[in-house]
Amino acid sequence: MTTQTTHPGFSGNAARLLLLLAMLGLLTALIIDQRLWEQVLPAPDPSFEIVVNGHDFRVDGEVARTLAQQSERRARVGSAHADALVRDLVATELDVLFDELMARIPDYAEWHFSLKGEYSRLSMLLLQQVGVVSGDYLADRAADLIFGGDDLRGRLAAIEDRVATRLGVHAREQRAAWLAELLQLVEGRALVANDREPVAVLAMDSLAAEFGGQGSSEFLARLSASSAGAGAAGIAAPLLARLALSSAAATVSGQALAARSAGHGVSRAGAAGASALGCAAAGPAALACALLVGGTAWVATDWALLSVDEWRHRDALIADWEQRLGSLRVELEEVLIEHYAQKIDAWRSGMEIEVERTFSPLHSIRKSR
Amino acid sequence: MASGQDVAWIRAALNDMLWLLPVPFLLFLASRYGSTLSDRAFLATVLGTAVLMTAGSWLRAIVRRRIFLSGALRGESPWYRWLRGGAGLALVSLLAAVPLAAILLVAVIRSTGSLLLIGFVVNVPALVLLRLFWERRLAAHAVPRFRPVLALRLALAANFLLLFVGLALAATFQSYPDFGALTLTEAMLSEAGRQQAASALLLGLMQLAAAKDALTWWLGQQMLPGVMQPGLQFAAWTVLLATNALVVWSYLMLCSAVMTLVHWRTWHPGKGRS
Repeated sequence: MTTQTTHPGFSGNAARLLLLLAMLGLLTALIIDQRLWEQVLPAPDPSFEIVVNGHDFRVDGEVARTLAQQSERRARVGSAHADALVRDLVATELDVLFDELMARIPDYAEWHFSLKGEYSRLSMLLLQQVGVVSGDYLADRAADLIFGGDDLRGRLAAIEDRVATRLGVHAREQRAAWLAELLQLVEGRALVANDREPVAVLAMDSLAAEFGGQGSSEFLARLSASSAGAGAAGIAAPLLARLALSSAAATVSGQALAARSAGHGVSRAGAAGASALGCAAAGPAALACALLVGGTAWVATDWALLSVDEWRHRDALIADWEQRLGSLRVELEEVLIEHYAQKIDAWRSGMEIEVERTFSPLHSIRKSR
Repeated sequence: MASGQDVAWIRAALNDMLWLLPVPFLLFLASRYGSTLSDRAFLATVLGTAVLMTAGSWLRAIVRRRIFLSGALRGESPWYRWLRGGAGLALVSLLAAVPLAAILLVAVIRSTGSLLLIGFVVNVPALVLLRLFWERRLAAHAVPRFRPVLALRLALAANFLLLFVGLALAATFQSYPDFGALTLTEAMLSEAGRQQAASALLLGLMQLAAAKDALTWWLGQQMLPGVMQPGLQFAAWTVLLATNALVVWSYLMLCSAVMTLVHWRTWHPGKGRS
């Protein structure tokens, strides 16, 4: 009797229990893996409002995500393009500059093996020995004749100006290209009054400014500041150090030449003495004759010796300076490219951060689903 | 072999569980679609949830009042009719339920992981079993007409402790944003800025909640690492997470309201004194 009354209750409870377990399991599965729910009832794609240049556009999530991807790619490609641009431009500018410098080396060699150069060196060497003048005359003269004195700094600053201007143009082109892509995507999607309220507003003006180099990373401002002084000084410092090293090398070379000149002096004195002996028959005019003939013989000997020296060492001197300028060019190119690479890197980071910040509502909306 | 009474108890328990299942399901829907609600829709959802919650809290308030009145007033006193709990008590319950409903909805809409919702689902059988346990335990002690609601009250207290401790323990093993290099203001602004919702009202509430979370996480990362003992660290984290207690309590209010509505006729103490 008892069995008859309880059995239906058990059946009903078993059915309820099964139903309960099934629903608990299904609900837990839906919560853990919401893709199942997406198959049952896909979430409506949220709409976003895009604000750029004072215009409002209404786009769905797909378009907004495409725009985010395009912006990420634009930031990556734009900075890579800027990097390549700088490399080309710096190489071209330095080619022009160093071609000019190389062309001045023969002039320097001309002076180096001239009587004027010889006597200038000897005079300065003598004055240095007695402590009347200080400094490195030979190096200064080399800097004047090859590098054009302070003109090199001006030339570098001009290169920086041109690179900064070109990068500014590139940034503006990048901003224009990005805006064109954006407008192409949102064409015909202008916001109208009766639209459903969008989930989030994506304000693009900051991103546009960053693409144009005028955002929070201040790319163009930093470039201008560097070309206006700070950057040039920073770049010129290692260059000047390089010049000093070159001067030291030139000094060593000059000392060797001076030693050679001292050897020449013995020959010159011998030649002058032998020529002066011929004036003994001149009587009272013997002294004047000796001075004139001796001096002429001295200079003639000196000229002859210098000519021999030039014939023997001119090519070596030119090759030495060409090698020195070549090294300097390589180092200067590395320094300049590194200088711009840092700035472009900061710009790229700024663009990436701005893209992330601008499109963060996309991630948070998706995350909250 | 179980007796007929046991079968009936089991059936009642299973029925209650089935009635309660829509609660976590509706909260799951809120977590998915809440951020797309307009201002009006969100306000209506909050008010609807609050009205539902009021059913449970009102009945508990009535029972509490009746217990007091039956001990304090003479049987023939007309005050009993005036004070037995009517529209005024319902309004007070509704006013208390509105913020709880808002807190619960904002919490589920903001929840990014599945921990909170799974906790809610698992809690369904726990609450029903606890209530039945206390109803059996009170059978020999409580007055029959107050017993169901007293059992519910005790079950809610025990369930609150269990659910809160469970969620707090699980929360200590979760990963949080790294605010180590940020000031408190930056951390709060950063977290508030990440909130998105179509409704400006909901967005404001979500930002407030996010700023509160950022405050607790920032404190946990900046101040608490100095506390060396693991026990103290756990205690400190628990204190920091105490604000989540409101979420847990709101959810239990909602569940108790559903159970109260299902059993309204049998649980209501009636209008008379006995």
